[in-house]
Amino acid sequence: MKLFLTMDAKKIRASLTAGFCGYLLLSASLCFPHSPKMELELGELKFVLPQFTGPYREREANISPEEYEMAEQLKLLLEENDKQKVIEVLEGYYDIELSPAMLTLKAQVYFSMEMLEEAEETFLEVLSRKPQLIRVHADLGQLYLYREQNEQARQHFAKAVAYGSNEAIVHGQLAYLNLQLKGPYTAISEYQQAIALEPDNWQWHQGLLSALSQAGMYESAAALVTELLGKRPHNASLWLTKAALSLRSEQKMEALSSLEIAILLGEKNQNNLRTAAQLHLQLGSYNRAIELLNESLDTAMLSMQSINEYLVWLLELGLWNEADQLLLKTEARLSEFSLDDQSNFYWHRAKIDSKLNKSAGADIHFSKALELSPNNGFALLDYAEFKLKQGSFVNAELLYIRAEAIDETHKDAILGRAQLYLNTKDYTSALVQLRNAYVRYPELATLKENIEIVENIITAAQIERN
Amino acid sequence: MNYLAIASILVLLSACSGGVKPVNCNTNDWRELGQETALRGEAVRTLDKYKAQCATVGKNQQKLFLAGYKQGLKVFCSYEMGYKFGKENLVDQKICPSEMRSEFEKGYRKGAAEYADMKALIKDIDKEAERQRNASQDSLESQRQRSGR
Repeated sequence: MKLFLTMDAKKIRASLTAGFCGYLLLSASLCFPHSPKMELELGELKFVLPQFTGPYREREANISPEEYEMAEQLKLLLEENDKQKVIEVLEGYYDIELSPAMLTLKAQVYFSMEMLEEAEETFLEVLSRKPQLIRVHADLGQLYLYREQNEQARQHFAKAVAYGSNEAIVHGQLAYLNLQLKGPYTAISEYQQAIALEPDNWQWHQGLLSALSQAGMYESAAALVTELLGKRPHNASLWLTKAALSLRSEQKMEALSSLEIAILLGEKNQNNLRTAAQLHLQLGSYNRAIELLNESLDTAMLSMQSINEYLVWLLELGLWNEADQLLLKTEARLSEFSLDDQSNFYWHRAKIDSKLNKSAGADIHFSKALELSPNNGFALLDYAEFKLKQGSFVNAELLYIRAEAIDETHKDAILGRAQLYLNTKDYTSALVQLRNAYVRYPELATLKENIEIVENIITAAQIERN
Repeated sequence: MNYLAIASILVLLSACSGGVKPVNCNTNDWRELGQETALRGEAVRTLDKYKAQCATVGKNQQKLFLAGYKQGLKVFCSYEMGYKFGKENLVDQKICPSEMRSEFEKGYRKGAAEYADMKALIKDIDKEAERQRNASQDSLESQRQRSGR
């Protein structure tokens, strides 16, 4: 006698997806001094909860001979999807009167009706009578998974496997939970088992790939990706993974070519486009880098943070015109940004003007940047330097003093002011600044030499005066 | 506690009294009541009769009763208890759940077979006694006939 029961897995799947989602993030730092870390965001690792029931297996539990008649009746009700009636019939018996198989059916119907407490209690009751029922361990594992009690879910899936479950889904679920809770090494063999049982199930391959990558087994992961790409050459997410793995092993050219294929196949993630642009900048293919920046500007709403990063790279490379173009494109959306971001926009604008010798424009844009955010330390520093070059020492001094009040620019500002005093031959003030800097930043070994030089200059001047 | 000894006494009591044991509805120990019910070999449905006797059986009491009943079954559904039931020619009410019943049934079959053997032996003895009685009556009759002649 076989009873079939299916549940509305859709609801469960919907609520589970968020909980089961993860992604592989690989990053590698760049040699650019101010550049952010280079990283690729890979596709989410999706976990699809299957329908949780199926036919009873002979090896699990059989209904009692005296239950055959009832089983026939329940089978008809289940075929009509009348779960409420099934429950009514089963609740007409004390649990001890039902065979473990029939009791399991009762728990499964509760589960499918989302009567989770009753389902849990009934599953546990079955296990108290037959502790080795594989199906019940697997179902209870799924119930706990649904309730996001992952540790308990993991324990029951582990028991199902220990008692001999040979279902790919159980191995896969255990692998996923192990990956989440116990680390990648505990997941690898379970994913392999799931793949052995269901070689065509994509999620097991994805899971194994994720586990191998997280375990730092890049060579194995790369080999798996290559194999998978042989089967699915048009899968952008696989190319992305390949790029991430290459990036990990510092093979930038390979990473870039994989990334470009992913982009060709439709990859649009802003961070990944940015990483591609960054790699192009590093490898000297500026045109493609700019093209990617323009593409992402056209297709996505770039955040000011991203724009800042692009501008930093472009300015580092002296690509002033490209930086200028980028700012022009951004200007239309300026009002969408916060005051700090707007301030950064004008700061970059001013820097470009300054580099292009548009002094009046630079002056206006620096002022605007500081008007929007008086504590924009980098704008204060650059403006001070600009004023210093213009010979406007008093203004430069004031700007340096303001920048000194900000932690992230304190060091540069204190040294900048020292430089200002040296430029204006105010050696006494320069010496004070340098000594202050040395007390605060003793790691700056060259300061000591500078201090000695300035002291010598002062002494020589005094001797000369005398 | 020697469950088997208690069970034997209860089985005998049950066999003597018949029907449902009247219950003290104010009992604090529904678990024990459940256990005793199982040990007497009575079906869990006995609880329904207790419920009918006592209007105040709540969910908690029921839960305790069922837990005790389950505990009692662990003792009752054994080879020894099956044997005892079979040998005393008591009715197997099939209260053991499917996963526990094989040992009980094995014992019951053995006990019932011994009961049947014993019954057959008694029958044979009765027959033999009858035969001997008849034979002696026949002998007396023939003696009477000889002396009358």
